[in-house]
Amino acid sequence: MPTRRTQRLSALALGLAAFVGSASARAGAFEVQGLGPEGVAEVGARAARAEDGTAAFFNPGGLALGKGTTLSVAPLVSYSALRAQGERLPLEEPFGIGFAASGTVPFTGPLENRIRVGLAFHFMPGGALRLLAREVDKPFFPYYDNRTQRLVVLPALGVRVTRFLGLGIGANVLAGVRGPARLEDGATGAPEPRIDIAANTVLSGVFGARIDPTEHAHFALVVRQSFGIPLSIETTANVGGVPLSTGIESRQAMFDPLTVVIASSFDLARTSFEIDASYQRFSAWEGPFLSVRSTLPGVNLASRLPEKPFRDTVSLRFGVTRPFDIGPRTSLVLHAGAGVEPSMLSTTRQGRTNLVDGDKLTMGAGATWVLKNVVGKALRVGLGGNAQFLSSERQEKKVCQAVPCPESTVAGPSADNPASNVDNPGLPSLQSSGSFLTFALGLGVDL
Amino acid sequence: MNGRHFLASLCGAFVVASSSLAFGSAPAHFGHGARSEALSRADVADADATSAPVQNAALAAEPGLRVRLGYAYGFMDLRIDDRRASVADVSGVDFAAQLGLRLPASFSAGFALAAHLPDGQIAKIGFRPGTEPQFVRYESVLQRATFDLALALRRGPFSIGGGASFSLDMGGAGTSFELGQDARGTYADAASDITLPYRVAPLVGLAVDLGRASLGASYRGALAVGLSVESDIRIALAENPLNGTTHVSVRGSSGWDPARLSFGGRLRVVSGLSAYGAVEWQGYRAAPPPVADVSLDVALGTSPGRKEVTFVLPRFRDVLAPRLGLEWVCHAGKPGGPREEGDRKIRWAARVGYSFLPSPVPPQTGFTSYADASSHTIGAGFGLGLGRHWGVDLRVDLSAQASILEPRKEQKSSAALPNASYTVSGRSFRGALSFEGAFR
Repeated sequence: MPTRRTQRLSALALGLAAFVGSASARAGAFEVQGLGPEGVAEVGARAARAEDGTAAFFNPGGLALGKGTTLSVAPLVSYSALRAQGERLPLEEPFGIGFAASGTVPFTGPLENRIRVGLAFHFMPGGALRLLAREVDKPFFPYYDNRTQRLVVLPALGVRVTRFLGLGIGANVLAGVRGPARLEDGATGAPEPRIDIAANTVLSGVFGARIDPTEHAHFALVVRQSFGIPLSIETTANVGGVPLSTGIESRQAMFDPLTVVIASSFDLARTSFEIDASYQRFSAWEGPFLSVRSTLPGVNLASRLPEKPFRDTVSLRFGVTRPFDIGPRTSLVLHAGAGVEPSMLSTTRQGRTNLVDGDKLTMGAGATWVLKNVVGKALRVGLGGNAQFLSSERQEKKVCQAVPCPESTVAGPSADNPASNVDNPGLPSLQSSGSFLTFALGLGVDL
Repeated sequence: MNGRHFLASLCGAFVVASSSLAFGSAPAHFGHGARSEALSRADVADADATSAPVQNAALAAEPGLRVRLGYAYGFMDLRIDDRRASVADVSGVDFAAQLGLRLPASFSAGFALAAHLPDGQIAKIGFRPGTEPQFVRYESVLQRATFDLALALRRGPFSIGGGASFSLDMGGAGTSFELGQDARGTYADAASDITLPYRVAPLVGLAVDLGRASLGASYRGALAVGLSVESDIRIALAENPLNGTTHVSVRGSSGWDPARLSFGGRLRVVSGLSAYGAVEWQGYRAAPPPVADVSLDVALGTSPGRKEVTFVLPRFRDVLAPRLGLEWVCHAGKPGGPREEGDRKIRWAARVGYSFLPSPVPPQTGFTSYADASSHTIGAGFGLGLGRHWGVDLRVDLSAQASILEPRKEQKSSAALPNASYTVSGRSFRGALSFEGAFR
């Protein structure tokens, strides 16, 4: 039974982990592109086996059951062959560098080999963030758009409760923005801005548990809370005695959904199999668009955005690994994976907006060359790739024939003849298809 | 004047600002960790290894693994015309970690990071009208998260280190607004392309530890949040006299933190008593205007009287800040010093510090009304080493700081100028608490 001192130190360690987590951290690129060559090759089916730094994302509970110190770096690139209305839609930030590290906190006594920390990191060479808010009628894939365009720093802490049970927690932190701004006539006679905007902390957690009933069987449960950046800016001005106000709002920019993963893994001889089932609550997302309101005497303007355009999804992922000894200190580990995921779009007919998505089939393969006792305990060089194929989808558009026009229709500028001069790019039907390819090269060392 | 266009452009700027993450200056102003704060940052030559990224990067090579977590709160009572100005209190969590390894040939190398997270926010972007009195050195710049990294190499008494302090600019293609109407009525749409490119300031440190005495030098580059946003607005409403297009540009630097060059020394006066001294140059001469510039390109049915607002450079002065400190430790050693396994003896240290920071702000003679004054800071604190528990050397430090601004009066040459006469005064009080665990 732990002593009070043990409890206090554990609380301190958890406090430290919670703070480490409060560094700027996000998870979007890991969800869409993957993490490390093994994760890419196994299409993310790693929740029941990841024990190194990548477990900070896949399952912090698995981190707790790992050993030693590991470091890895993995450049990653994606290519989008996604198409909408016959036009290829490239990924805006296709290149990133992944980094993962894990280690055991060197406690002695009752905490010895029980506390481990991990870090998963995704770095974009061009900047920490690129936030794109598309025009309302532009066709694009919200599943991929914006989600890879962020620096990711995901720290985690794992606690080995017993020999077969590990619990872990990670943190997903960013800043939302709220605040007023005013435009005033200054003493110079010109309008001068007064801005007082605060980037407030937004926190969501990653929770994981792993149970190993035997050495060759692993079960995992992972919950990643939903995450989105809230923006809410209100501006006011008094110009020539006329009061004016304008506001911009996006409650969930760069959204990642609540995700629950149930996973199991077992070994047959030297081959490991894993199956992961993931529930993603996309229905909670209000959408990728900016909402604008503008008020001045006689005219009120507001965005007309679709309500709840997405639905929840359940995806399945399979992963398999098999090592082959090719020398006294050298082995080659082969990885493969496959997964299926339905479209996130609801079946409601869209009006002005042209969001596209499709059912996804993902297949991956890769290999890791392991060289023991050359650098540290083991040096790992890995290569992994996967391809995600989207089903071809067609969404019919409906032109408004008479006012009042339903939200599910598109209309021209004239209220007298709303069916004329309609220039929505989704007409007459919105078509999408394509594929999304990702490759990762990794170099890692076990110390 | 079409205020709605201006508002829309400001919204674009704010969306950019909203995504901002800035790194800068509360640790550089007050110190990082309770020990450094108690010594009024005079510990350039002998800072804790966890404070190395802020005080002197060369001190990050100490062998061992250390993690420090602390909290500090500063009550700001700054006054203009004896009325309290709207300067927010400065508070937040400090976190630091340092890892040092022994290498062959008597070398050791280390890595350290230090972060500061203000309460409730990661960054604050503040721009006020340039003619309004404002404490430019105490507002936005003290309300930011900070993140500094340092690498160091040591052999014998000599150490050298380098690193980086990180910040993010805000830019991108900008925001476009379309205020229009179709058969269903009016609508307001917006699209944005916002980027946060990295901005990095260098850290360089040198240190020599001669036993009874040590010397150190540290340099930190200037850093700020650069804001650059372009906005395009198109209005197409039936029978609206303001239809047309507007391009708005908003540019500025919020919360500029100057380059700093410090030289310091430590001398063990008698057994257990050490004196610290440092002098810090702060390069305020290069400071940009702390107000945003605005320009308009208007093609509308009406036109504003003024289309551009630009403020001249503030012409701040470089300053030299002297810092002094005393530390008295018990005969068993410093609270953070090495221990044997099972050593749970309490160790203590008492500290005091003093610093003087001249004001870089020149007398205000024109439209701008920047508020500042030279300040005296007194610090005090103590530390306790709690012994080794489960392989961890535990330590706690507490400090308090009081700063007084010398009263200052600004008298402009013409009473017609905005804020032609005002006085500046104030004080601040700050407390800090730190916990550190060291694995050796």
